[in-house]
Parts: sequence; C-alpha cells; structure tokens
Amino acid sequence: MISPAIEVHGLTKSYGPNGLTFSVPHGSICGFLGPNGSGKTTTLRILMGLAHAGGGSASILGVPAGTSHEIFRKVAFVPEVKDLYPFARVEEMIRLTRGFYPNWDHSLERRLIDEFEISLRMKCPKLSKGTKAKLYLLLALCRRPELLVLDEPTEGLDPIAIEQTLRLLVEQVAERGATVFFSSHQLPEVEQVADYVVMIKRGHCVVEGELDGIKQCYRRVRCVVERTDADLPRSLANWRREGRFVTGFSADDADTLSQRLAGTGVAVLESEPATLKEIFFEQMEHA
Amino acid sequence: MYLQLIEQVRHAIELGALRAGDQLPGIRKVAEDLVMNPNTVAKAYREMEHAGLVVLRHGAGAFVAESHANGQREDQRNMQKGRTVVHRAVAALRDLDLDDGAIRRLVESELAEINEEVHR
Repeated sequence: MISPAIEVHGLTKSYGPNGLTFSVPHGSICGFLGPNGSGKTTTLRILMGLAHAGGGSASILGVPAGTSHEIFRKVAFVPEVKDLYPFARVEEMIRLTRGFYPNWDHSLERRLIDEFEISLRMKCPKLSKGTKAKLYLLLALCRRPELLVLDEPTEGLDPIAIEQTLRLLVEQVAERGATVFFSSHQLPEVEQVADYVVMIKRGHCVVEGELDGIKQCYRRVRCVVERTDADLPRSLANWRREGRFVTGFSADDADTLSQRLAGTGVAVLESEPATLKEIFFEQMEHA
Repeated sequence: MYLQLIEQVRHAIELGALRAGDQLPGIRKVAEDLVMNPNTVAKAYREMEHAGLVVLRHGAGAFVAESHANGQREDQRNMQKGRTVVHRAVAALRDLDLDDGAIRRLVESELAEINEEVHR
C-alpha cells in the first residue's frame, strides 16, 4: 500500500489546529472544508513549512513538514494571499520560476497563457485578482508537482475561470497521478471534483473519508408523525420537528428505517442522499 | 456523481445511442470533459462492469456489453407491445367516462395490490 500523500497527527498550535488528525490518500483530489477561523490556512502553512506546529506532527510525501527544501521539487503550493514580486512583469515572473524547476512543462505554460489570456507585459501588482490567481496556478502546474496544495484556488474567479481551474486540477490527477489537496468554501465545486473530504471545526477533524462513503452515511429523511404531541423515538431525538413533520439524517435507506420505526407512529415520507452542503451544515450546527 | 454517470450510460444504451461493442471514452477523457474526479469515473466504470452494462478489456478500454444490448432489444420490443396494451386499456377506460386522475389512481392501486401480494 502506498503511504498517504499528507499525514497530520494531533497537530496543535495556539490558534488554528487543535489536536487535528487526518490523512490524504495518494492520487486523490481532497477537499479541505471548514468555516472561517477553523484552522485551514494555518494547517496548510504548517504543512508547507511556513509556520511551526506547537505540537503533534505533519508530513508531506513521507517527509516531516518544514525539514526539507528538497521536497519542494515535488510539491507546489498556491497560497490564499497572492503577493507577487512588486516590480516584475508577468513574463519575468514566469521566467524566474521556470529557472528553478528542470521539470518545467513548456507546452502547458504556452497553453495556459493562451487559455487564461494572460498578458505577459503587465506588471504583476496591476493584475486583477482573478488573473493573479490564474498566474499562480500556472506557476504551480508547470512545475509538474506530485502534490499540489491550494488555499481557496477558485476564490474571486468568474464561473468560466472556476471551471477551467477545476478541469486543470482533474487533469493533474488523471494524466500524471498527482495528488491535489485544496481548501474551499464552495461546497458544490468540492462535490464535483473531490473523491476525498476532510471537514474541520474549531481546529479538529469532524468528518474524514471518501466522499461517496460519507454521502452514503447521510441520507436526508423526512418523516410524518401520527400525533403531534407524541414523543419521538430516541434515535430521532435530535431531528428537526415542525408540526407533524420531522426531518433529519440517517445512514439507513428508506426501507430499513421504516422497519426500525415500525410501531412508533412515525412513517418515512422520503429519503434522499444528502448533498455535501447539507452534511456540512449538519456537522457545523449540531455535531 | 458516479450514479449520474451510470444512469446516463444506461439511458444511452436504452435509447440505442450506444450499441453492443461500442467503445466508451477512456477514464481520463471522461474525467476531463465532464470535470469529474478520475477515481470517481473509474468507480462508475467498475460498477457498470459489475452490472453487466459494459465489458472492460484490459488496456483497450470499456465496451458496451453484448448480452446487455441484446436484453435491451428484447426489452424495447416488450415495451412496444406494452404500449399497445396500455393504449387499448386507456381507450376502454375513457369510454367508461373516467377522467385521467381516476385512471391513474386505478393503475396505481392495482400495482400496489400486486406488490403487496408479492411481499406476502
């Protein structure tokens, strides 16, 4: 078995991660989810050796975070705040980065300049937010990294650029077997491209696993009760109740749940797989 | 996501857009065209093989299964026959001055009764 691309164990810092444990499988596209201030950016910075951990351990491609510069031949990071060299033009920025990486993909560079319509003569600080994000993505992808770590890669992009970005991430995995680990608040886009998900809350992991498996454990169920004053069965204690309707989440399909609820005066009306957004809200509000 | 993909292929076979022996696009191509996770596409292909919808030939790709396409043709013929039966039945019910809602309820209650008998 191949070791995970990222392994985090009991990671702690005065702010952010608080006993955070998860791993990212090799060859996956993993979405890193959590509300603002839950510790995502700090965790990514520790993984990239840009911040020190207070406790616990973190490793990328089997190497403890912050111990080796060599690892950055194989790992590329796209940070959330994109501060490029203030006086450089786009073409100088690309040339400078290209020089560090013997593996540089020249044809991808040309393709992305074209696809993203990046003007090479522009001074970097004058670029729009969206174009900065595209340039950063170009600089990261042309290195052909084994592991690509991105902090909110689609933030500030228009819908077309978002789709281009997601397609590029998929390409990295489909064509080169790379691993992609990206934080995002855009749950539908995570649902679209991720096969693995890590969800954190107040610095620790609340959900981790294959997206399909997680979704199988969360079916959104709507039930109707015979009498509004009747007590609910214990298994439905946390469910939302409005008049005769009760809604909540269950790992059981409709038939299994109906059998379990037989004789309780509760009947299953509908049961559907939950969306990632519903799972996220359920975890953040109740768990 | 992968269930949607399976449904689409199933539908394409049923409509005759895909025939036995037709090659499905490779996993990479599907992943990139639909902007889907390649692992998810691979999983969908494995499930479709398991369901007898496609045959995976190592190194060559995925092909629409022979038996399934035959079965589909059989199904299509039966569906055609069924449509004729329903056409006559609905005409007969209309002659009894029953409206669409009543006809629908009759069909549904008949199906429900049959299902209950099967369960017993």
